[in-house]
Amino acid sequence: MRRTLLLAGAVLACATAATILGTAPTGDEILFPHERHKKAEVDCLVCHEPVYDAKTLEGEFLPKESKCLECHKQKKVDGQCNFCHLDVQHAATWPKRAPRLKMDHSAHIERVKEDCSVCHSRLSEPRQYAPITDGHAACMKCHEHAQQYADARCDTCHVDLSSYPLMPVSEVSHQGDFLRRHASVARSSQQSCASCHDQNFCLDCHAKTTMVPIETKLVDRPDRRFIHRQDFLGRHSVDARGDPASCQRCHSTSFCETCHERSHVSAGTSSLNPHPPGWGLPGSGAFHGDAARRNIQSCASCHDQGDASNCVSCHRVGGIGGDPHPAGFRSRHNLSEAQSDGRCAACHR
Amino acid sequence: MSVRKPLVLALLAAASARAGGDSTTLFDSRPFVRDGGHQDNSIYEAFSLNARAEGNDWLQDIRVVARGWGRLTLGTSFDEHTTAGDVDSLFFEGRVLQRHLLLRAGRQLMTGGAMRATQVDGITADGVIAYGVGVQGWAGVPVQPRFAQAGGDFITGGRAFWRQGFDSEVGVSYVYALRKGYLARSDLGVDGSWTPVRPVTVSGVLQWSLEEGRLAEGRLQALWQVDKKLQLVGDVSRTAPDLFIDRSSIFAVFSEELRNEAGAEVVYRLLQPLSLEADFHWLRVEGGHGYRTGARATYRTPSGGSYGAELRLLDEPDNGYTLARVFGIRKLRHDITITLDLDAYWLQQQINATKHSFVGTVTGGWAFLPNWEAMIATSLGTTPYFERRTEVIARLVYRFGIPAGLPGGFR
Repeated sequence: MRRTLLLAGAVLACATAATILGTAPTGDEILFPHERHKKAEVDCLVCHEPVYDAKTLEGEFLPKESKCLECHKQKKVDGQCNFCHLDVQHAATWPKRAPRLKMDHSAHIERVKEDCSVCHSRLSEPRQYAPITDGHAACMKCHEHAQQYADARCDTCHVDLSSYPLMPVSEVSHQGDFLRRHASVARSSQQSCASCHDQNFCLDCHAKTTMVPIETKLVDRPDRRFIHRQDFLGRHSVDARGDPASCQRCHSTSFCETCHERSHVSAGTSSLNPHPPGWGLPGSGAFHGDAARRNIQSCASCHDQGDASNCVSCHRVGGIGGDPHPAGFRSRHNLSEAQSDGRCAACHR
Repeated sequence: MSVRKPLVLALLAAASARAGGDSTTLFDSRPFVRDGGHQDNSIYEAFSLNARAEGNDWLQDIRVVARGWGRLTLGTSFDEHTTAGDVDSLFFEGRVLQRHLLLRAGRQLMTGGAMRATQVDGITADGVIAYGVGVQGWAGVPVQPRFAQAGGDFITGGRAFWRQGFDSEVGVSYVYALRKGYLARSDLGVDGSWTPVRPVTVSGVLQWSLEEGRLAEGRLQALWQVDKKLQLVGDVSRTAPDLFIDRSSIFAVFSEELRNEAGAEVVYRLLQPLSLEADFHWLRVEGGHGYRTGARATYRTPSGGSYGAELRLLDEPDNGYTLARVFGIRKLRHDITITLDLDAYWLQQQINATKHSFVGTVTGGWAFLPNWEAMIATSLGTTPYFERRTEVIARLVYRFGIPAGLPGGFR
C-alpha cells in the first residue's frame, strides 16, 4: 500500500512539475523587416552585438526594445504599437527558444571576416518563417564539418535531433515494412537511431513496464504499423505459431501465463479444458506432443511452474510420457550435464 | 575523487538544463477478456521528462530522462488491483573524455548486438577509442513489470565495434544473463550494417548460443533504393525459437528448434503522395511450410491527412488468416483531426468457434491550445472472444518544451 501511495505521489508530483514548467507562447510577434534594415545599411552587429563574442547559443542575441527605440522612438510616443507588434493586446518580447545547435559565433565571425551572409544566406521577414541559413549546406562548405557529417558525429553540432520532423529516405530508409526490418539495422546502428529517437520512443513498444499497448495510446494513428492493432487478441495464437521467437523477443513466458490466468483460460483457474479432443492421443492430429514441439510458448503460458510443471509428472525419467526431447537433442547433450543443471534435475533425479 | 563532487557538479549543470516532456491522462474502458459482460474502466496518468544541459569541461551533454505512470481502476479490475504503476525509464547520462565516452546509469533500454533491446536497471558505457573503433559495456538487472525483480537476476555483456560513418558499422558482442540464479543465456553475436554505395544498405545479425553450441538467430537483409520511386528489399532469416526462451525455463528443452524465412519487399511511389507496397515471405516451420504476404497503398495529403488500404495473408500448417484494413486520417481544420480504422480478418480454422473478426474505430482529436490536445475514440466490433466488443478511449495530452513549429517531430 505504501509503495502504491509513494508511486502515485511521485507520478502526481512529476505531472504537476511538467505543467508548471510549461510555457505557453503568446500570439505576439515582432514585425522586423530585415531587408529594409539591410537597405538602410544597418550593420548586423548593431542589433546583434552580443553574437560577436558568443561561444554558445545560450545568450540573448535579439535586441531589446531600447535598441529599436534608438531609431523608432517616435512610433512608440505616437502609440503606434502595431508598427512592431503583431498582437498589440499581448505585446511581448522575443520568445526565448532553447538552442538546438552548438554554435560558437565568436570563432566563426573571424573566419568569415564579419560577413554574416556567408552562413546567413537569407533573413527572416515579418510573417515569413524561412530558415536563415542553407542548413547543412552552409556548414559543410567547410571541410571540417563535412568530415564530421561523414563520421556521423552529429552531436558535434546538434543538441538534440529528436525534434526534427524529417524522415530518412536515403541513408536509412523507413519506407515499407520497416517495423519488421528495424531490428537488424538497430542492433548495429543504435547510435544512428539515437540521433532522432530517444529511449522513450523505443520504450513505447520495448518496455515490459509499459502503461498500455502503443496501439491504445496512439489509437488515432491508424497509418502507423503496429503489431497488436485492433483485434490482435483473436488471432494472436496464429501469429505466435507463425513466429514464436517474435513474441519471445519482448514477452517472457510469465507474461502469457499472467494474462491467461486472469482470463481464466489457465490450468487450475478454470474447470473448462481449453484443449481439443485427441490432446492425449498420439497420432490424433491434435496430440499435445506435436503442438508443444511447434509452439511451446503456448504451453508455457499456462503450465510454466518450473519443477512443478505438469509436464514433469509424465515426462520425468521413468514416467509414462516418455522422452520429450526433440530429435538430435541427445547428440548435443549427455547425461552428465543433468547432474549439474537445475532444469534437467526436475526429470533426471 | 569522492562521489559528492560529480553529484554537485551534475546538479549545478542541471540548474541550467532545458526540459521537454509531456503529461498524459488517459481513460480506457475495454471489455474483460473471455468475459464480455464486464468492462475494465481505468484512468491512467503518465508523464515523461527529458532534461538536458551542455555541461562543463569534463562532463558534457548531460541528460536526465524519466517516464512513468500510475493507474486507478474504477470498479472491478482485470488484474485484481485497484491501483498500479511503474517506471519505464529513469536514467542519468553524460559524456566524458571530450565526448569520447558516454556513461548512463539507471533504468534504461540497453540495445546493440547480442543484447537485442533489453530493459535493464543498470549501467552502460559506450566509447569511441580512435578511428571509429570503440567498445560498449552493459551490466544490470533485467526489469520485470511492477518491480517484481527476483533474486538472482543479472545481465552483463560487451560489444566491440567499428563505426564508419552514419550508416556503416560492424560489431562483435557477448551477453551473459542469469534468471533466478540459473543461466538464462550466454550468447555471442556478430552484427553489421554497411552502405557500400549510397542507395544500398546491407545489414545482418548472427547470434550464437554458447550454451547450446548452435545458432540462435541469423538475419541478412539488403535494401536497394533503385531511384526516388522504387525501393527493393530482400531478406533471409533463421531462428531457433527455443533459444528465445530463458535457458532456465524447463520449456526450453521442449520447443521447436528451427524456423526459416526468406522473402522480398517492394515499395513503389507511383506519385509523390501515393505509396504502393507489397511483400512475400516463405516460412519453414516445424510441421510444414507456409507464407506471409501482403500489399498496402497509402495516400498522403499535403495537409497531413492520410488514407490507406491493406491486405495481408498468413498461412501456416495449423491455421492462417486473411486480413483487410482501410484507414483514414483527415484534418478538418489545422486543430481538428478525425480518423477511421476498419479492420477485418477471416481465419482458416475456427478459434473459439468463430472464424471472423470485424472491428471499427473512430477517433476525434482537438488541439485546443498550443500545447494541449484532447482525443476521444470509440471502437466497436465482433471478434472470436467477444460477441460484441466496445472500447472507449479518452486522452488529454499536455506537452512542453517542444520548439514551436515542430509539433513533436518523431515524438
